[in-house]
Amino acid sequence: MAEALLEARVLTQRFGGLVAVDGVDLTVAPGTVWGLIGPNGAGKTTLFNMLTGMLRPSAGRVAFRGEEITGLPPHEIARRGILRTFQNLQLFPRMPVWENIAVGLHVATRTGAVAALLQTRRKRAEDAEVRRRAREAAAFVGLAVPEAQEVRHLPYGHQKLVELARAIASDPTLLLLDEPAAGLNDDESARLIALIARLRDRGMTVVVVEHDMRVIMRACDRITVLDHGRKIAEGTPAEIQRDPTVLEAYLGMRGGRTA
Amino acid sequence: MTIPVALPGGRARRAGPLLLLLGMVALPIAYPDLYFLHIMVLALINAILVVSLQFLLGHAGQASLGHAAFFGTGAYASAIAAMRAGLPFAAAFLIAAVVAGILGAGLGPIARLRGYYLGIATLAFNQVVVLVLTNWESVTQGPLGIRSIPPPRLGPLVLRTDHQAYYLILAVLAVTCWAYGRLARSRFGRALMAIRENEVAASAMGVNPGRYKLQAFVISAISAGMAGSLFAHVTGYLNPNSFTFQESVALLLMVVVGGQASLWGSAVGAVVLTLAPEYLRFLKDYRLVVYGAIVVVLMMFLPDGLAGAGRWILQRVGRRPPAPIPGTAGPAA
Repeated sequence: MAEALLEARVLTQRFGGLVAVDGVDLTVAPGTVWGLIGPNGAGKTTLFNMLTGMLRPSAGRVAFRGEEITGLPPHEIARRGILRTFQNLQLFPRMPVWENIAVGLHVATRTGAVAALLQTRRKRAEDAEVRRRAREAAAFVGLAVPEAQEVRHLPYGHQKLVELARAIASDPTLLLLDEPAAGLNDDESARLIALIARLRDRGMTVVVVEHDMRVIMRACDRITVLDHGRKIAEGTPAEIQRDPTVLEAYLGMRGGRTA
Repeated sequence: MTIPVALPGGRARRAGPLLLLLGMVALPIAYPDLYFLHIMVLALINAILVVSLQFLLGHAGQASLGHAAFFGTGAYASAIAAMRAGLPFAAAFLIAAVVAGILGAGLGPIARLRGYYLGIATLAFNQVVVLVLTNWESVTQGPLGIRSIPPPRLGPLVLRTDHQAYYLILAVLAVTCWAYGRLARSRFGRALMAIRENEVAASAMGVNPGRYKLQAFVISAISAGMAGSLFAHVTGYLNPNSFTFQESVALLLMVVVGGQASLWGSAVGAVVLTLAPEYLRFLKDYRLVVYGAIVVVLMMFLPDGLAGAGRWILQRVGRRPPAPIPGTAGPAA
């Protein structure tokens, strides 16, 4: 069996008396697309925040490629090859499009203040490569806007693409997408599904939190279902769609679009 | 408000600062009034301080109320190095930069703070430094201050007059601006901007906010230390009262009036706000009231500072900065 890329054991998050995530286990195999679904308040984004270092778990551990990453700060997690997008877009509003994407390449580059001051050859070469890879990432996600435009002036759909391009520009090992389909129309969702498939084909492992059932069922290899902070089911899209516990907790009652 | 995005490298863009520099070089020749030169010397020293503070504020988003502490530390370090250890000016200047930089690094965890907390912590830090300067009499001569600090000397040339000192300071200012420009147009500068725009997103993309903020502090402290050395040797006299947090506030004011988003704008702000109180002296008792009123009016009508006004004028005149062409835009390396 292939060694798990990401492994979480008994992850728990308590906010005072509220248990947002209750003993969740997660084992993500490399090169797969893993879906994380559940009703609102199920703990999906909290789980993401624990995986990415924004929240320290109250209990439990997380390992990435065999290395323990529990409790590491977000920048350390990013440096190890785990990048994410955000549910409510966290861009750099007054920076241009291409610079937003370029920040995504921070983990793939190294020059610092001294090299900047001295304008070393390495710094200039790195700058050129950053510009090239930023453009590639923009093209890959299908973003066609003037790259010097400040992102705060872009329409929502384009802003989502910028954030996606930023997350993939450095070719991360693990990509966490937090509700990437939110606010997208049918066409855009279809393109998103295709994009995720292409990322997987390039060797990326992707974990997607989503409410849009069509995206989840079509894009994912395996799905974990959360409800009230607990894992209630796990399996292939076909298995999940038939699972009575899931149907009761979520699909039947919620009116989310099914595949 | 726009932020200091690296401007598209074009000869049109570079011409502006170059013309300004030429103008500054010609100024003492065109207007050699001694009083004016003396004020300009102080204004240029303020400009160095303000440019380094602008980098911290406009780039890293850190509103420090303690910048005068680094200024004072550098000034005293330079004076003491020159007078107690008998070191030549160039060495004292470097020592000032290094000592101020070390002090900046000593801020450590304070550098990570944000907003009001950073303001309070840096204000307190400033006061601590002033207390040390005032009370460590064996080293600093306390409230009496240090007098008869030797003027700057470059090889055989001793810069005794304000006219000569002006050019030295202008040179340091030009190099400082040039250096900060380079820092801005780099991975380092981009990381700082990202922290300023959205610290959560920046850290999620691998930028270590604490480390970069501290680096920004150290760099700006080094510049402030250099300004301090120039101040000590050009004015010849030091007193701890020149470096209180009120001075830090005055510097912050110059940044804001000049334009938080602009390196050159804040340098202009420094000059304007150094000249203004001096040339308002004819108002006698009402001088500071009018000065305060001018600042308030400027803030009400020019929130982007003088630089913002300059940009507005340029756009109205029709000489808009060339819009970057997609595919070729981006800062010159």
